[in-house]
Amino acid sequence: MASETVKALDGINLNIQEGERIILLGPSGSGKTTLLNCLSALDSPTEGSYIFEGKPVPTLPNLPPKTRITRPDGFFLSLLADITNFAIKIGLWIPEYFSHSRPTALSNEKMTTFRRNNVGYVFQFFNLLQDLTVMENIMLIQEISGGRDTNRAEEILRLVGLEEEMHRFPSEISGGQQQRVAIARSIAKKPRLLLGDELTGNLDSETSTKVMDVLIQACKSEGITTVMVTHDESLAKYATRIIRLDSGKVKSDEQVKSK
Amino acid sequence: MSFLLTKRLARSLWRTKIRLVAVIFMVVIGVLGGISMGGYATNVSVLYDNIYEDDEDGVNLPDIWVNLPVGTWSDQESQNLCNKFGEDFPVGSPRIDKCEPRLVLDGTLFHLGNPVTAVWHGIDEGEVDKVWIPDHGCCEGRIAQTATEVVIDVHVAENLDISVGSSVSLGAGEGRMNFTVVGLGYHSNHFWFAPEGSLFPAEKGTYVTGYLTSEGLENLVNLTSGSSNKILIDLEGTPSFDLPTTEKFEGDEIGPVKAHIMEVLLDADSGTATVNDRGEMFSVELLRADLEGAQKTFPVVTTMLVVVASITIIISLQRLIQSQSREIAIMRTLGVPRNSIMVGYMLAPLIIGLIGSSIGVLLGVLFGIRIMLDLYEEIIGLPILNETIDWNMVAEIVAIAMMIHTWS
Repeated sequence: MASETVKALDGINLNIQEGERIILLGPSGSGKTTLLNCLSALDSPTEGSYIFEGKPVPTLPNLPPKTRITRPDGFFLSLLADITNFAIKIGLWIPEYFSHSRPTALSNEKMTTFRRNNVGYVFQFFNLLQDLTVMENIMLIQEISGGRDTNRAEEILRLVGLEEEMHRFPSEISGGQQQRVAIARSIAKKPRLLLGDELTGNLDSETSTKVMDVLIQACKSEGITTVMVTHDESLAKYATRIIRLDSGKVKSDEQVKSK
Repeated sequence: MSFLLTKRLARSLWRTKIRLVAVIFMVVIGVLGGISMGGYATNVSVLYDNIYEDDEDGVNLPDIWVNLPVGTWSDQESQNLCNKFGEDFPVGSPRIDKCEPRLVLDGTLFHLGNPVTAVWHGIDEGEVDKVWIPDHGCCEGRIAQTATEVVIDVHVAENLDISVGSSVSLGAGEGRMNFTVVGLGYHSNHFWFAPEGSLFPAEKGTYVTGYLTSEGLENLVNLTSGSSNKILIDLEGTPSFDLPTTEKFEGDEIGPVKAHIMEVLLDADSGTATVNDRGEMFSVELLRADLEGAQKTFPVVTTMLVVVASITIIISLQRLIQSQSREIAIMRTLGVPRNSIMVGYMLAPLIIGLIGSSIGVLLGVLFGIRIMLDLYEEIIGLPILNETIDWNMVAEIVAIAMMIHTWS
């Protein structure tokens, strides 16, 4: 059976200005989430470049898969090579280690650092850390980004209306509240770029409106550039720019006057 | 390492507290078992060294026992033998320090009208293989000094309701006499209190040993003064002796001396006599083998228990990581460095090991060693005079436990 290459994104050329609030719209499989993943350095484009504030964003190396390691001289080394090749053959983790692991791990770490320093991410399913309280979820992000700031964490929680819930665990609050915590967490470290993936997809319309109001207010007050993926056309009212994708290509890109 | 990441991991571990407690419990058991057995080995080793020592508190255990199975040597004969043993001594072998004839006879104790099988030793205030009456609650009184005094072995005194001052009737051969008990003590031939030919200790009240003066025993069986059927030889230093549990002959130092003594005995028409070293003395060898077993076993037992604990930790952590793979992915997405996440998962087994080891050390030092020694005192019947804790041994066991955890 012949394999067919699918392009998740094809010829995307975008220039995003600081402070923009972009909504990415499009049907399922149009490449919205892939584009978001590339913007957040969770994924890397196979071709092209991604420049952030004038600097290239680290990407995963494009290494060809290595299926065998060369058999060296010497009994023990060649035996080790044979064992390794056998392990490769039966699909153990070793091939990744010998082929990709080190360069991939280095790039991954650089991409993680980029995310840590620049990107806030809000997920559809909130993805709060269940063993940390609301306050601790926020302060963890501060802690890994340079230092804890209790006052700012409390201020952000007030901004999203959750100051009363700061000592509760995620499992003790509602879905809408969890999403507001996720927003608070994403802006706690003052990111340059905030990305949202179907962030209201798991909420009812009333809660969605509340959450979006909170998000937009927070982004405006912090001057954060926002890119959000959604199926929900009604969220377009929060955007300053709407990009529609289809089959991995930009179908339309329009500036709008937001509220 | 991030404080909040540590806190998160700690809470995650605590959520599976049954598993966590089970793992810690296994480490505790490993360390506790090791320390208890190691403490037992250390204390018993010190005890034997002290008992067998040639000093005021020790009994000065002989290196060679010459046994005449039938008949007795006269005073002159035994003195001649001792003199001849010292002549033409093998070159390079340890010299004879002391040579002491001794009379030991089977007999009977008539107690409350019932005869009880007995062994009577005629022991004056000798220099070799003395009666051991330590300054301890187990024992009391002094050694026999007159021909009507006897020391009864502690192993049986309580069972037979015999105490210092009691009057007992002793028999041997055709003779029967009353003696006054002046002490309760032990003798090296009967530390393991089993009748000759038996592996197991005698049932209570069925076997007695007593330690009279040589004159007292001679009077009892109507033998001439100075009669003996054993000669105890103490060599200079403590030469290596042969172990019956191995095929190899380890008694390189004592072998030529035994051969020399045997030659002397043959020349003196005492060819039926046997010559034994410490390895052939049942009680001495049994206790040595028990001690050696404990010394060899405790690192193995500790290692086995800790290996089982480590496997449980590995499985437990693997499951924890599997169950947390989603949260780990979230943290990576949020920008948490790989090392910050990994450090916690690597430190967790160490901390679990440390907690388990600490509890194990505490329980082992406070209770484990004492329980083992109580068991020893109950089974063997010898008192542990000064309970000691060998902190090097404790450190060794904790090191074994931690090394296995770290390696895992």
